[in-house]
Amino acid sequence: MRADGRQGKDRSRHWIGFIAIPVWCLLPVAWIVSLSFKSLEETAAGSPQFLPKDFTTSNYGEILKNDDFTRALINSFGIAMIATVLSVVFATPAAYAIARLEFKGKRLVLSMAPAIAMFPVVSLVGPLFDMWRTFGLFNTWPGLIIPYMTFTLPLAIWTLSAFFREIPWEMEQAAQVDGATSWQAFHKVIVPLAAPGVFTAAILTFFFARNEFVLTISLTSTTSSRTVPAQMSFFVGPDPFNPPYAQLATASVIVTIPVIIIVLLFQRKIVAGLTSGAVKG
Amino acid sequence: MAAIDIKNIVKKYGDGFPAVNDVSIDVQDGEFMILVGPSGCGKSTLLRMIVGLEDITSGDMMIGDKRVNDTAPRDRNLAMVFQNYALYPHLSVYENIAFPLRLAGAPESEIDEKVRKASKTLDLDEHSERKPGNLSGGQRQRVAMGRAIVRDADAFLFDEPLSNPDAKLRGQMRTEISAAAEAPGHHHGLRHARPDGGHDPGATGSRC
Amino acid sequence: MSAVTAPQTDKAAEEKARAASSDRAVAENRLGQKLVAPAVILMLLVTAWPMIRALYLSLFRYRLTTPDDREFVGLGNYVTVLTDSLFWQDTLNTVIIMVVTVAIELVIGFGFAMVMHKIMIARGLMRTSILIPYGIITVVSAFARQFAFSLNNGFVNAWLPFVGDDYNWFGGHWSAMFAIMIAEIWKTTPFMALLLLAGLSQVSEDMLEAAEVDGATRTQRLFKVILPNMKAAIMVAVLFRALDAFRIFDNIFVMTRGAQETESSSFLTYRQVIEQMQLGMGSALSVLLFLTVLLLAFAIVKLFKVDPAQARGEG
Ligand SMILES: Nc1ncnc2c1ncn2[C@@H]1O[C@H](COP(=O)(O)OP(=O)(O)OP(=O)(O)O)[C@@H](O)[C@H]1O
Ligand SMILES: [Mg+2]
Repeated sequence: MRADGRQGKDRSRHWIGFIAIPVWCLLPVAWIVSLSFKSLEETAAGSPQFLPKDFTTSNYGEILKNDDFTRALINSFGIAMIATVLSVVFATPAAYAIARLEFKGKRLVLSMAPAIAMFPVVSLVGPLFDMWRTFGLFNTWPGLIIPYMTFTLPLAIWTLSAFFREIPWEMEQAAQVDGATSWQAFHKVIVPLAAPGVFTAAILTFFFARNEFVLTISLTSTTSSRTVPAQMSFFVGPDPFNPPYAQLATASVIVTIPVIIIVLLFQRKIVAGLTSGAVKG
Repeated sequence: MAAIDIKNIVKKYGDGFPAVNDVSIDVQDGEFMILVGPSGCGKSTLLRMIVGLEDITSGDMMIGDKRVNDTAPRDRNLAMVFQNYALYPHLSVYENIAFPLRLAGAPESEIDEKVRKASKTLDLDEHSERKPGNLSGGQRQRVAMGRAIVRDADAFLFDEPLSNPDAKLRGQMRTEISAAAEAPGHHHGLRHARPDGGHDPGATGSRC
Repeated sequence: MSAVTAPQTDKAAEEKARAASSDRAVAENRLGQKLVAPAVILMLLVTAWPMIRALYLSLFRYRLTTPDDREFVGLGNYVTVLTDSLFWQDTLNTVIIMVVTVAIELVIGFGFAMVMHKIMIARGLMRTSILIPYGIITVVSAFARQFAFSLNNGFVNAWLPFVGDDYNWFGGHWSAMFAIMIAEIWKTTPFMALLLLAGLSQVSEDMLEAAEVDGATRTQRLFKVILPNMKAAIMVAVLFRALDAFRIFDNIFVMTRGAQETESSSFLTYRQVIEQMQLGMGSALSVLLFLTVLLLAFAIVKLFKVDPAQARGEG
């Protein structure tokens, strides 16, 4: 808006960032996509150039025929989904209370949430490994879902309460003054206002659950409950320094596609969810 | 020392709306000028152009004998009280007022003396250590005023400075503004106020 | 009402209001606690319970391969761990990774946040780009990096002018640490950037304009106005990321498996429990890790003089 000579500098700075951000963020993605189109023979012989020498789609066909991998996709989706839904169900009333009510212990809950969410889950591996085998939960879905709640629940509380704080709750009263019943006010005003927040919090929580690695390699032993990260780490074969590059890259691309779709569809909401009201200056 | 000469200033905002349309005002050195006009007629916009926060679409802005259209705000040496005060929430009242002096690298003793004097005039001494977030609207406005008057600026611009304080304070502040305008080195004061707060109505833009 | 006396009157009115509504306050308190109770109990159940169990197990010599040999050793496991140089080497690695990655992420993340805050065009592209590393699975990103740095199949050696084509990144401690940190930074900078963006959007444009008129240079505006007003956001970002970096595991597991002394505290704990089946020793490590993280969280909160609840304006 100004012509005092600084705008030009500002603009060029921002243009650098404008180019740097997508390059920084997308280059590794482009790299695995490119790698996924290299043939196994090509990578076995060594293929340090960025793009494939001869382009092939055979990796995709092969990986999708791999039952262990498709099974892992199902496990990943199911486990992360259940952990997310449970967390959101428990977190919603808690977040509502934190955002709207004054009560003792509120500060404590809010202060502990980030610490618990970022707690080193590897600490749970020992005792859970021991207990789960006694309870028959080792290598099962619930055996992962339960410990996943240690981080999904506080994350959901943290993000949801940020969202709920931003909701103009007076609208509920305004609607009642306008003649709506309590239920109508809740149903017609509050739900539409809160739903996007709940949905976004769910996406963020889901990303975290799906990303988890320590617990899934420690508490599973077969493909019946192994999730994608664990399954991929077992693809590696005997020599970790010479893994089947192209296939791993293909698997990577396949599990990244849903992320890209979700991000493309909901980028605005997700960013708002991570920023709006996340902190107050 | 610094007269302000506004020559045929036009301001069109991004949406093409002409907020200020061909305004010319000549403010003498040491003169006291009030702009009066209905809400939305472009008073704030004009002041923001004078301090350099807003681009000038066409026309010349002269301070002293220099054309300042392309000068950065910090190089114009003007003080301004914003319509919404724009205080620094992380600093105490004292530090808010001291801020421009610290930026100018004034010695601590001088800062202390000036800030105390300003706080006293503006009746803010007992709030020195408080943060702006906890002050009333009128108190905030006085802090913003303090931040402007401690400076050794070439001109002082006040965007609706007297809209909030009560009658007694208003009188006191009016005196203070005049004093700031007449003090040696402060050769010139320009302010504008709401219709009810002003006397000496000066020139107004053609649209107003 | 005079502006000068306003605060007192406000306070008196507030007190009166509080007395009148104390019944309501009690009810509100009760309702609030009822609503958070299920979540808090569940959180304690899934977190505190295994931790207490770990505390108990850490007092035993207990190897899963020979469960009958279980023997109470008191603090013996802790003594063994704390006198072992591997433990200290791994802790040092973890601290280095944490400090370096968080520091770099703060700088890059702030740059990203600035760009996202200022740029008005192609915001969708910016948001999408930045969310992809955030959403991608860490193991996947680790593979991508491992391949990029690999000797036979990586493009890094070819692209970097000052590195020979036959340079083995995973052949030395520091180069392997470098590759691991790059992977970590790439994956988590967006998270940092978004948290900082939250703080940046709280810094009002008017205040920056006032600072300009007050004579602040660009650098002065950054250090005296923008950053102090983002303190809470920076604190939250540093807290989240420092704790997260301290538990680094995925990248190391995929990229080096702890070779070249790149093992982290989490990795050591994992190895003791899962590979060595040393449940007693592993639990002692778990407890130590847990205590370190608590200490770290406490230190960060003290350092910034804000806690997460305050940062959210619930102080
Ligand atoms: N950033 C902007 N973009 C577009 N139009 C703007 C912008 N800022 C102000 N305007 C328009 O310019 C005109 C003048 O605004 P200005 O704020 O200068 O009025 P004012 O005289 O200070 O009014 P008030 O007494 O209400 O403060 C208004 O019609 C307003 O709608
Ligand atoms: Mg105005």
